[in-house]
Amino acid sequence: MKTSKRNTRLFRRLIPTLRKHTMLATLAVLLMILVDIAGVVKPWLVKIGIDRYVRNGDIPGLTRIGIILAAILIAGFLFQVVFIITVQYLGQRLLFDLRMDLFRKLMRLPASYFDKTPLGKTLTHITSDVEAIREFISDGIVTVAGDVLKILFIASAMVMLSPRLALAAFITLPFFVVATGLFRKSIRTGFREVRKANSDINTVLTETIGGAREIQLFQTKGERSSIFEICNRHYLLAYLKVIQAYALYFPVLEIVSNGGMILILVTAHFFMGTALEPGVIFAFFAYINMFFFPLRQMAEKFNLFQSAMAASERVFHMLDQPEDISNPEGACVLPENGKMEIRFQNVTFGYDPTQPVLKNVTFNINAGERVAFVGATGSGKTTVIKLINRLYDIQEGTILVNGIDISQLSAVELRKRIATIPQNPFLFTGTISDNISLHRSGVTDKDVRLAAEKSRARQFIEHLPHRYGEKVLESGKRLSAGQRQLLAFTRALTGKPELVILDEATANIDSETEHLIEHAVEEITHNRTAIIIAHRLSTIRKVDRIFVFRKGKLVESGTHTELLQQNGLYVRFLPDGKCK
Amino acid sequence: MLAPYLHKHRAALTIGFLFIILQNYAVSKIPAYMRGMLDEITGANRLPVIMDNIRMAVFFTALTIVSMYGMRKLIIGVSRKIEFRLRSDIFDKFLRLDAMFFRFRETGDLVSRSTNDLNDVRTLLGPGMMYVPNSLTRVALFLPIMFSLSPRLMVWIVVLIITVVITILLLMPLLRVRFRRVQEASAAIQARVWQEISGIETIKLHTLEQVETRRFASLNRWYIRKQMDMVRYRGFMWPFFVFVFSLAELLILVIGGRQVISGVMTIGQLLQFNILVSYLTFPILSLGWVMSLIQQGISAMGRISEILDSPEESRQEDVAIPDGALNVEVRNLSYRYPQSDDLMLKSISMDIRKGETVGITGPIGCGKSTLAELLTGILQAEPGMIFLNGMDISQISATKIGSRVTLVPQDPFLFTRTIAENIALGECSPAPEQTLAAAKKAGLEKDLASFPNGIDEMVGERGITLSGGQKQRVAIARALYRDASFLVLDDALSSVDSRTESKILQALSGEKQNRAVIIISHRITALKNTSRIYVLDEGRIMESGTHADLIQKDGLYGKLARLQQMEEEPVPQQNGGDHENL
Ligand SMILES: Nc1ncnc2c1ncn2[C@@H]1O[C@H](COP(=O)(O)OP(=O)(O)OP(=O)(O)O)[C@@H](O)[C@H]1O
Ligand SMILES: Nc1ncnc2c1ncn2[C@@H]1O[C@H](COP(=O)(O)OP(=O)(O)OP(=O)(O)O)[C@@H](O)[C@H]1O
Ligand SMILES: [Mg+2]
Ligand SMILES: [Mg+2]
Repeated sequence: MKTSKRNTRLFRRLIPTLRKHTMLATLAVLLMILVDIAGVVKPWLVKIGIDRYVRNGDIPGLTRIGIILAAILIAGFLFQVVFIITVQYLGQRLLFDLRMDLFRKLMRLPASYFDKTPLGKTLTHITSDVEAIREFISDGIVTVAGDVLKILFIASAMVMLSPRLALAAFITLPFFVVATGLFRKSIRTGFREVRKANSDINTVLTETIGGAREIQLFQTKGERSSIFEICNRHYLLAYLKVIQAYALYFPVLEIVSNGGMILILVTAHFFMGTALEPGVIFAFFAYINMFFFPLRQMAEKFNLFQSAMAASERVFHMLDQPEDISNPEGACVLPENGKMEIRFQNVTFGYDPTQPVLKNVTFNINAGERVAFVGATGSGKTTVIKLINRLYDIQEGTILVNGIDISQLSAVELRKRIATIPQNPFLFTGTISDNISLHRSGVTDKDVRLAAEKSRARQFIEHLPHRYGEKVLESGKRLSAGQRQLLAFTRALTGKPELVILDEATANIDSETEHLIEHAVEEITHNRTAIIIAHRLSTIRKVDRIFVFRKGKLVESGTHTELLQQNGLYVRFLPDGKCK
Repeated sequence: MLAPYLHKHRAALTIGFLFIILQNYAVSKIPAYMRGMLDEITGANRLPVIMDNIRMAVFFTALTIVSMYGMRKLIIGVSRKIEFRLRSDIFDKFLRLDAMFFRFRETGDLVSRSTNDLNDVRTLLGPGMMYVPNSLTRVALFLPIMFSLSPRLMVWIVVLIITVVITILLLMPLLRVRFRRVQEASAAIQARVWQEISGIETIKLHTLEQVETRRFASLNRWYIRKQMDMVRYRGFMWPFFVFVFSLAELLILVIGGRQVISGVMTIGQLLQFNILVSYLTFPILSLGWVMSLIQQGISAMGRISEILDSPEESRQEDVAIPDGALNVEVRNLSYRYPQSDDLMLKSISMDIRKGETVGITGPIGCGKSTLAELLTGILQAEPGMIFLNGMDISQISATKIGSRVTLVPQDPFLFTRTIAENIALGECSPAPEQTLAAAKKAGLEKDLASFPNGIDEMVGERGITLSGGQKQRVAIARALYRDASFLVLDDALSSVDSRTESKILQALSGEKQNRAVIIISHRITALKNTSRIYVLDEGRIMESGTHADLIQKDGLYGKLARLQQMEEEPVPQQNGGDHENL
């Protein structure tokens, strides 16, 4: 009861997607009816042929009926071709819509969603779950609607031909229904286990491939193997159960259809005897086959329904996630002044609201000022950066950007004005050039080259066999760590940001290269507001002020000299040689 | 390729095939009894004769269902068992392949080969192995019966079957090309989405949402085009086969009808023929589907074989490394990455005695990480280049190397497990004291205190819930937990503040006297207390010596040191003095 209610609810949500293609759907339904009619008329014509012409030896009549039958066959064939193409096209259009909806949603989901949700799961929603829904709609709903219609047609044809024989044919029906019910139940649990085992297998596989080096280094092969063995065996056992169900079910169909034929003949023997028109038997045998075939298909499709329901539940769950804070209605326009001013007032924030990571942080960064964040690892520096980009919403306090509360701003507009070079750069599969331009419309090849020149990435790019066209593999695994960082750095050199944030952007870069790109840093931070996070002091020596973080609190701030004089925490972060 | 797998199940398969024959034999018998009944009803209509026919029909139906059950259970069951074995074999292969294999391949591609492709192979083995013999025996058993009923009609049926088979053979290559394109397109979508999800933060920070949505839409449009291109053929094929087989009904009516009129056949025989044809329909129609399964299965097997046949690590000789401390010797090491023209490392020689800590530095991309991976056996060096206690590393198996040598990689991979489990990688029930001790040495103690579950805190996927420095230190703790005799730290402290850095380095040097350590770093502070520093540039050792030596020499290292000195420029000496006074 509960599930059927849930199913209708899910189904209702699919309707708007369907409604967009009313024309196609109507056409599909019409064609389907035509195909069904053509199918049901065939045995009837055979019956007429046999009873009226064969038994009376009327050869011209037989030829006539043959021609009519041929015409029907051809029409049925044509209808079916058009029907299949229409239905498949409809399915593809729906798939497109759903997938794009999910993708747009993906782009709007808040960062916190990705902290909690395994990547593989989201991937499954956008790739295979929508595929399951498409199958459900095009192969499922439409075909099943057609099948139901067909069964009605067949049943009425049978009753019209001979109510008695029809009754005999339907005697096996309850048996069939019960068997199908049992079958559905057993494959439902079977397939649920299969899906679970399957997703476990994928997780282990992905981690094993991603961590191949660690697994080799740390000798965890035996353990990995045994984990995998377990998932794999679950999968096998679950499937063996499903096989058992199918192996039992298919014979049932045989019993039902052969039993039906025998029953029809027995009824004919008892009630009609020699008065029987043998053509009726031909028609009935054909109808029995036609009758059980869609039923059997529906039973098999049941699995498809089940997984489509589960899939649409997951898809809608994702679509129902609260959106990224990105674009509040009537967002304030951020005043443009070329330099950004940031003000934190008693900001408290935790990724998990019960575990604050930043505690009551207050500071301001004036327009055009350059500040550095220092502090022990894990003290919350990167978190502040994420908040400034509004990747997360804070729990307490306010963040003001150019005097406007950040929660009133459109996150996209905000981020457009900020260039952040994150701590762990991500490279996309694609060419070096794509990775710098990121397909942004305003960035030309020339800009890419110019940026690479400034960032000194040019040196290594020019050494690559295909230079800017060199393929970057998944997360840049064939580039050195420093090279990857330089590429991420280069990206930021193509825009005109109002706030520049370098989050340990040169941690893996040697001092010589760093020195060389310093000029570029100067240039992009010149006359702009800038935040620099670095553990090497060389990187922060030209800042106006230094903020020292400790365990989520801002503990000191001031110029280098001021901080030295305070002789607080800052001094302890200086390299050995200096503080002694 | 699949032969050994099939061989293991030969008994089950043989019985399964016998069931197929038995089933088709039983099926071929049934229509005769239906004919018997119809002839009797329209003729004398005697109950005992009818009963005899029913009994036989029921008997053969029973035989059909038993053999049908056996056939499915055995053959499909075997296909699942082979799938299971193959999947285990692929996975074990992944564990045996060396690191280089993974450098050239995308995770998504490998996962898809071991799931989707494997599934295609399974379908080839299951339905493929069941339906092909089934259709063949059915045709073979039915044709003689049909012939005995009406040779003329039988010839016509053969013509129809041949038409179907020829159409399949003609369409199959066209369909195959299109099917492959669809697969490529769907793999492209999969890969793209994977990228978007993994790079979501970058997308947000660079506000690429709209650009990416547009690109994704065009990828999807391309996918629809490929799909429809295939659907056009498929949409024609199936109705066409159905059409061809409905022609059989027409022929039975028209030709069979004439034969009945002329008295060659009885109406019952016509019914028998009709039933036989209806039993043939599905096996013949499914041939098209089965053929495409076979082709998909074969090409999938090819892709799987590529994995299974990749050369494994060659170090199988398995010489043991003598116990105790390790001396590491590098003699004239050169290395070239596969598929690359230039030598990455050129005649590197170095010597690290037991208990010694040496440093390596050099500009980005000069080959430091490459060297680190060669020394720890992740990349394979040619024989005669790297020696651990005099044993050639190329002769030692990865397992043996791993038990003595450890690397903290530049970009460590964290598993989605607890911190403790990440530290004690590969151990089922790590002792809490030991993991804690390792975490402490890596300077993680304070961080653990800030997590609700301490050391048992779950690490988000690939470590996303940890800060950069925390991730690095978990990786260090992992290495320290192993208590190796030779430890390489590849820029493992880059995201760690200088205070934590010096603490960790101190803990490291105080901890195990006999361990040989290599520290790769860009920071002079991490290097200057090592006993020797090698400076690499473009794959060569440019200079080496102690910190003092190299400063004096004023080469590349001197320059780097000077640049890092400059960072402290605004800290003139008197400042240090000042704060001493405060
Ligand atoms: N996505 C997240 N979910 C939950 N906790 C997080 C997340 N990201 C960071 N943290 C936690 O928040 C704290 C602060 O992390 P943050 O990345 O801001 O540190 P950081 O100062 O940048 O350190 P580092 O110098 O090591 O980069 C850490 O304890 C970390 O474990
Ligand atoms: N699988 C590979 N195939 C071809 N070239 C590679 C491969 N992996 C790395 N390289 C190249 O080898 C060079 C050396 O890389 P390596 O990672 O050893 O540098 P590194 O000295 O560690 O630099 P960094 O200081 O940036 O970490 C780089 O130019 C890189 O592009
Ligand atoms: Mg950080
Ligand atoms: Mg490196």
